[in-house]
Amino acid sequence: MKKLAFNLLCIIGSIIFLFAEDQKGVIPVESDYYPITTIPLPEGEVIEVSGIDILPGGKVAISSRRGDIFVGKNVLGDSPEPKWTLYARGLHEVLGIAWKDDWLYVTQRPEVTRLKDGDGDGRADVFETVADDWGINGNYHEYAFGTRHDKNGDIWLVLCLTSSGGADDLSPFRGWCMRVTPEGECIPTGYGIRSPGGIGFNHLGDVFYCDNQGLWNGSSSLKHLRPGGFQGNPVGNKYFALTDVLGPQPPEPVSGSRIEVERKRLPELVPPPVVLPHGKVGNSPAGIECDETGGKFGPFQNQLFISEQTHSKVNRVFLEKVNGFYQGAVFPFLEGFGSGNIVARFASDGSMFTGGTNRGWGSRGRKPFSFQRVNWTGKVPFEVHEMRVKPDGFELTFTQPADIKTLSDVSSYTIETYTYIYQKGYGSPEVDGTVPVISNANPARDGKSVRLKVGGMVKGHVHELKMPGIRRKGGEQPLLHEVAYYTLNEIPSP
Amino acid sequence: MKFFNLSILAFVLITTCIQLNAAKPPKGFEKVDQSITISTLEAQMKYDVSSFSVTPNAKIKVVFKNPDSLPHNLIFCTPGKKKGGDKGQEVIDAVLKLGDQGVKMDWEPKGHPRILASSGMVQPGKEVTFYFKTPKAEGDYPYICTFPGHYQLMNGVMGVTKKANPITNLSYKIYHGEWSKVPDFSGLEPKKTGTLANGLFDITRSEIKNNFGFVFQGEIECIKKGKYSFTLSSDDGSILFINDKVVVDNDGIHGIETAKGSIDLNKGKHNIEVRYFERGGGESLTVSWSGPGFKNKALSKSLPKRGQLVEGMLLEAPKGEAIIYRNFIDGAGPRAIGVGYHEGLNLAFDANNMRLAMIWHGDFIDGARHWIARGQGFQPPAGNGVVRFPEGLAIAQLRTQDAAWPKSEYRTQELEFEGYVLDNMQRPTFKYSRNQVSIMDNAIALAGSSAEVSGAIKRLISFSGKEGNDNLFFRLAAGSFEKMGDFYRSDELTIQVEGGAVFQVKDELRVPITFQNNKAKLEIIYSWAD
Repeated sequence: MKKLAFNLLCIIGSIIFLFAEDQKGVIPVESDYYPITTIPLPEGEVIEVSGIDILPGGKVAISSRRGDIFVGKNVLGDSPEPKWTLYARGLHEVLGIAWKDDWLYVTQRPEVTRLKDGDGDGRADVFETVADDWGINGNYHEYAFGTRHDKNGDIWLVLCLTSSGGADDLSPFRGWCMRVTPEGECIPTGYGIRSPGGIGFNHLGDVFYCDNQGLWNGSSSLKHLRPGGFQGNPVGNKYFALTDVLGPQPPEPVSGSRIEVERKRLPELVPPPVVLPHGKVGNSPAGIECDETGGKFGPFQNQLFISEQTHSKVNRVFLEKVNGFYQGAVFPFLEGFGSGNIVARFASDGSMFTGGTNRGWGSRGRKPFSFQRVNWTGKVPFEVHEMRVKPDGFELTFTQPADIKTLSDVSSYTIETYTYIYQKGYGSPEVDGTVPVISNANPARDGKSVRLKVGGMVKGHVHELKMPGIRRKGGEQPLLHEVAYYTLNEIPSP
Repeated sequence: MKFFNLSILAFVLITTCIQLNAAKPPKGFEKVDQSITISTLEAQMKYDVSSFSVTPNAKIKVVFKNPDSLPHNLIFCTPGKKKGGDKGQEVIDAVLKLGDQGVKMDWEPKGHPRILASSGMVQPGKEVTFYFKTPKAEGDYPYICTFPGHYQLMNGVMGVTKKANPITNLSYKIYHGEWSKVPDFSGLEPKKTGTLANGLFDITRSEIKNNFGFVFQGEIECIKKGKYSFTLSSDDGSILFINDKVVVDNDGIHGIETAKGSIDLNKGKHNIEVRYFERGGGESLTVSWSGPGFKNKALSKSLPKRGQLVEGMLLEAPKGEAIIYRNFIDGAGPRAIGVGYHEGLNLAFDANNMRLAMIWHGDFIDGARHWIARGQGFQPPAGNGVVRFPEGLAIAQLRTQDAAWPKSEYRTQELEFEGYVLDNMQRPTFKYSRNQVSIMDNAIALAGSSAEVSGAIKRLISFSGKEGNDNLFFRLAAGSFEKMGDFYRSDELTIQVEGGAVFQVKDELRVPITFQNNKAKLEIIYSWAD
């Protein structure tokens, strides 16, 4: 009888406990920190948002896959009631816009074009071809993605291969990266590209793009466009015959090998800084946007936000440079967007605009197209802030102090590694899996970081770290996202 | 067995059949889903409609006319065991059993389980209107005249199908042979013939998979006068005719390819014919049509597939403005710039070769090919009177004026595209250059003087340059041109040029670009030779 009473007490106790937690909000969700606001688009228009830039006077310009450009005012309020005006129509599948000195620079399939509203009526009337030294042959896959201007005033382009893995003689430089100077010169800057989904800068102005799983891409990944670098797909190497800017045509990689193996043989092969494990963080990575809002978007200053088309979400990437190569980790950030995200852009107030489409490639978000905005509520989510590699393991920092006890308990973590076959065929399963051992977890006194000693790290592998046991200081709250995927191309020397 | 009988009984009960001589429809049939008129043909012992289609569960009004000199009836039967292929044999057998009672009963075995609806006997020169609700089950429902001795000739089939359409009397003929384009079937012997009561083009009746051909013939009814367009998607080739005129040509050996064409049709019935052949590999034929107030209605079991469908998003110039469409345009290359003028005239500029590639009138272009799914392929003009200009350069430096024109390349290296400016009506002036010569190429549309006249495209090309621009020539067109006063005329086009003396070299019409004070100018007016 006594025992029963005790049990009852326990049950009541836990109910009260749960209730109390519930009142505090129990387990927070992404939207507690980063709500998504849908911005109305002009009625009757199909705007599959494919490019976003901020214009002077708090205005925003958006481009569409159908080739239209609209400019909106009043897009930043709590319940935005934007006023849209048509700026230009009928361009060829625009995938990148950039405002500079009263011109709107547009990357469309066959060219980079700059547009100007010369007579001040709100519509562009001058369309000047800036650069067009590449080709198209009528294949839908021959997309051209363009950046904004870099610090030299250049626009960087990545050019999709013909269909999913070809390089037609009629359409030169498919699979190449081009740099377009302010004078309109088009400089071949990199090669080995397959199917980009977007391109962007980090805070230092280095250029990255996302390449999609497919031929010679075991998984999708974030790649670094190091000038002269080879991104892994040799199909476009034939265009070395058209330029000597990057020297002679290099030898081809061996199909069925590993990136880690081939990069020893092919010094220009740039290992992907961050593999975006296919099916885990998404299926179709697209645009890249760096948080340079100075804290207006929360604690992730200088980190990259990657639009993910299939999963209708945005992932977050932390990068560091080790032995001269970029590498780092991807974390889930925010999901539940209306359509398939392909582009994002920060406004000066710290808003992140996102645009999407699911035409031709399906998305979890069911809307055919969307234009949305993410704002930080000011509440700091409990997240891994940075994940850095050390000679003998990793160091994690957190956005909020973590509970020391859970941080120092090695059973709070699990880690496994894998890589992908580097091959001519389409994609790859995860292969060469290992399970390293976390022998020690040494937290900082303030709970803001922890050093993990890891035995058995594997160079060239994705290190998938899960942290289900970590709790926030003074509570039961777990990490908002408990997983990180670190791509270990380089291990620093002790 | 018992169940079977019961279900037939229930079927008969559900299928309301009302016979009325008065014009006033019975209750519930004030508004019908479909009307059909079937007439006897004088002294031929035939109905004028041998097949038509209706949707299941629909309210139907049938007007049965009998201009013949004998009495006839029109009795709709259920499909029976032979799925409609027996001309209602069991009903005929029942008529024979009526014996002496037959005349009195108007040769109709009333209450027979296979009778769906009946006109009753209609005397010569009379007509009758009757109504009924079509069954829920899809299938072929024969109709016959039960007057003794008539049914063998007086019969037809009502196709009950969810895809009911306005094609009646659709027949098919199957041929065997190996062709590389649609042959002249008229001299060939069909292997098999038949009726498609559902009015749907269907090649599954072929018993072989390769080396066969079909000719389908029927009548399509337009309920309004207007422009109708047909989409024909096939593997291999096919051609669609309306009233013996080619409307869609999708001929040749190919995978599933889609072509489209349009025609103005009056209200009423028109002959429709589709000729098709299959050589080897996959085989497919799908047909759809659009017209006033409707879009993409199937005329085959399935619609031309999504992604292959190239219609339904027609782009139109806004009032008082031009509209631009940069995309893969059939006839103008991958880097085409289509311009639709609100005057109903259109052009496409090829920015790979700096040439006017095409002009046409009527509808501008359909965005569907590029705006549905991933957007593969080249889209042809939507309108009519497409005039294509020669591929390759339009401006070239020649040693002599009658030297051979440089061969066309996929993309020229001689001229450079520099963009365009739009005027306040959104009309572009293209800018391009050749060495030291800058070229401004402006085109505007001149509306026709009346709805019947197509109008003209007026083009003003200005050249300004410094040096090395001797012996520059402009190629206007290719074809068989005849000089008529100020004009040059071919069977599709008339061209009028100011700014240089036009001359002909072989089948090319050329004009020199003559500089004065580093400037030259050409004004060209293109109009259709109607």
